[in-house]
Amino acid sequence: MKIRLALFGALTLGLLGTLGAQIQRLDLPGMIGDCDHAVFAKIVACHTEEIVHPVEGPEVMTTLTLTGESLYDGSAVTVDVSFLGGFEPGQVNSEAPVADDCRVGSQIVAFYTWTDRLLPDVGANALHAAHGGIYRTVDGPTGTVILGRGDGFAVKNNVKVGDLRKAIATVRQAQQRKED
Amino acid sequence: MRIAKTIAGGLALGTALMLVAPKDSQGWNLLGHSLGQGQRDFRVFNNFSGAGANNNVIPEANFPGYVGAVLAIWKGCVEWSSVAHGDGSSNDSTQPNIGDGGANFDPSFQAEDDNNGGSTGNTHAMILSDNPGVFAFQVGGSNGWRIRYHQNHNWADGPVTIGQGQADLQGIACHEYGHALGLAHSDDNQATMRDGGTTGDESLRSITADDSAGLQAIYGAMSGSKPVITGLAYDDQTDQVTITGTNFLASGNEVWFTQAGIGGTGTPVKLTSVGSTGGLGTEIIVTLPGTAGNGDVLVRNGNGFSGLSNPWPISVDDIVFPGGPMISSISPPTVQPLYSGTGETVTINGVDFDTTNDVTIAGLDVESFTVVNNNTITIQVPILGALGPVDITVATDLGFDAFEVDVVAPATPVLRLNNGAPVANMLTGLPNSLKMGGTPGNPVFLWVSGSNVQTPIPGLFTLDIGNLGLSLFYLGVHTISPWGWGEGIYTFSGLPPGTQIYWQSTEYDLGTMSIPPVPTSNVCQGNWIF
Repeated sequence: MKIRLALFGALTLGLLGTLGAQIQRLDLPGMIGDCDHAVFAKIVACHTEEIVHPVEGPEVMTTLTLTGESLYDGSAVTVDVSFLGGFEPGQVNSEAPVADDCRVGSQIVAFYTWTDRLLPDVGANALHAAHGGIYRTVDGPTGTVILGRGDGFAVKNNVKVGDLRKAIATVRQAQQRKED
Repeated sequence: MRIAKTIAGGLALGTALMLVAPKDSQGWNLLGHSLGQGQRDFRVFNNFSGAGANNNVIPEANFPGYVGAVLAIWKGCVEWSSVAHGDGSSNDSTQPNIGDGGANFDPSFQAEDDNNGGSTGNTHAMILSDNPGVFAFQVGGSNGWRIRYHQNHNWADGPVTIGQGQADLQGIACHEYGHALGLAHSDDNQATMRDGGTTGDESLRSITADDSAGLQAIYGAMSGSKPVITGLAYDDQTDQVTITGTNFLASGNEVWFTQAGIGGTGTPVKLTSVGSTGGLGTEIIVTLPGTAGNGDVLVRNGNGFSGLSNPWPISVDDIVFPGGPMISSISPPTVQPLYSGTGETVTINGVDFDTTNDVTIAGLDVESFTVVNNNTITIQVPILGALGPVDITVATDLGFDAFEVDVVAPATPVLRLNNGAPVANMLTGLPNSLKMGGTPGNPVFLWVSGSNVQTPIPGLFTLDIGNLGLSLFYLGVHTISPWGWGEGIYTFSGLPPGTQIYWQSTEYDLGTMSIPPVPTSNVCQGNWIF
């Protein structure tokens, strides 16, 4: 009985949670300190492909095309952001976001960093910390809210987009002062 | 925290919340798959780079034959075992015990792979990729899986604590293997299966009650009918393996071994249709298969999750360190214990000796050793605690190797004066050590003279000193100790400077009650200074 409940719970909570693996715990300052950029954007395309490397063999990579605004400077952004794994059985990567995080048409917040080899010989803007780098949003009566995911995540508590933008600016200014 | 998230998300997502089944307070979650007996194997492709990934060269009795990254990953995986791995001890002081699952689940370590094992080879390997913010990942399920560790981290193999900037291979292996066996991330922030980790943190190595509860939700709590290994003895002379435990079948058991060497398929080396011999299913005696090596032994008594025992370590041969020294021979092949400074040496032949920093024999440091070149070391063997087979060990910066030699008593009586130099200088009032080598237990008679002219004693022996007995003095009798040597301390005074003094001994073999003439030793010479 416990098994059924747990399985049922896990499957259903896929709508809300993630099935990630070992990622780094990054709060907002940690994430902003490590990543290249953050955007509030709509997923306009989602593409999964298998890439075969002569040594490493086949690995699946998914790329989201995002269109929206930079949470750093407000500029318009269209960017491809990738992560390892897909959504077909047998290809689910333990660190990947769940399918519902990546639904085309969703408004999300994403943190990403360029890497020359997300896979060997494959450069991409990597979703920073994989499933830890993407956050869903919901539209509320007072504006769009980003759904926080608790301790160890860049967005810990539910927060309005404008407030996150301000928080990011504060963190960046503090880090800039530290660098100066 | 999980409940708060659920409510917040559920309110926003409307009816979605209505489908969420409440759980107990536990944080564990399941991926929905399990590993049958055919997928319990795991291997390690040791392509880990970085200074810290393979610098642990300390062997461990509970994890024989492997060090470095392989050892760290082996430990990380068997933490999920039903009971303690061997006696549960390890060099990992961050946890009291390795093997805490308490479920009908046990993994089978299958040594090293020679490639990354492909998509479903059940192999841990480093992937040549840089994934920001991600340590490692697992893909696959009940038909096989893979675990990959991203290269852009400073991996550390422990075995104890790691540096602040290092990623803990053992802990992250433990976490990833939790995914392989069917666990998703836990909402318990203390669990090994928690969402995120940090560098410099070893806490993922030891699973928590929440992890164990999740494991038991998949495989069931450890069954009373599950075979359990509680001990193992291996006789390397007969290759006989004696396994003790409980719940072995009277007949029809399988015994699984770790494969020897690198590569293979990952399928355990299996002996089938094995009976138990101890009565009440408590003992199995088998002959070690030729393809089995260092690693673990498991016993299978049936199908299902509960039909496979815990893994128990078995050591069948020496450890091999990548780049470490390897001893090929010792010359002479049997060794007599000698006193340092005698100038008599034993030669160790092999490879990769250039960074030798320690040589031991029977666990004792050899104070005098010389690295002649990358292939040769000479040592002077100290007197040991006993005769018989002992290991000579060479340690370098990259590991160590041991070679067994037989330490034997001198075949004929041997006499050494002080440091063993051919001619020893002697001073008034200072003690002189006379060391007598021979067969343990035999009496040795010690003689001294100012002449090196022979003294024949008809029917008994002929000494090379004593001038026909005119200048011969009997000093006393000593007994050869179990380690092949006896010793007498003598102090002299009043001799003119320049006096030459000669010593010799005779040994009587009590074992054979030998018929005279009894053998005599070499002659030692002392030069009286003042």
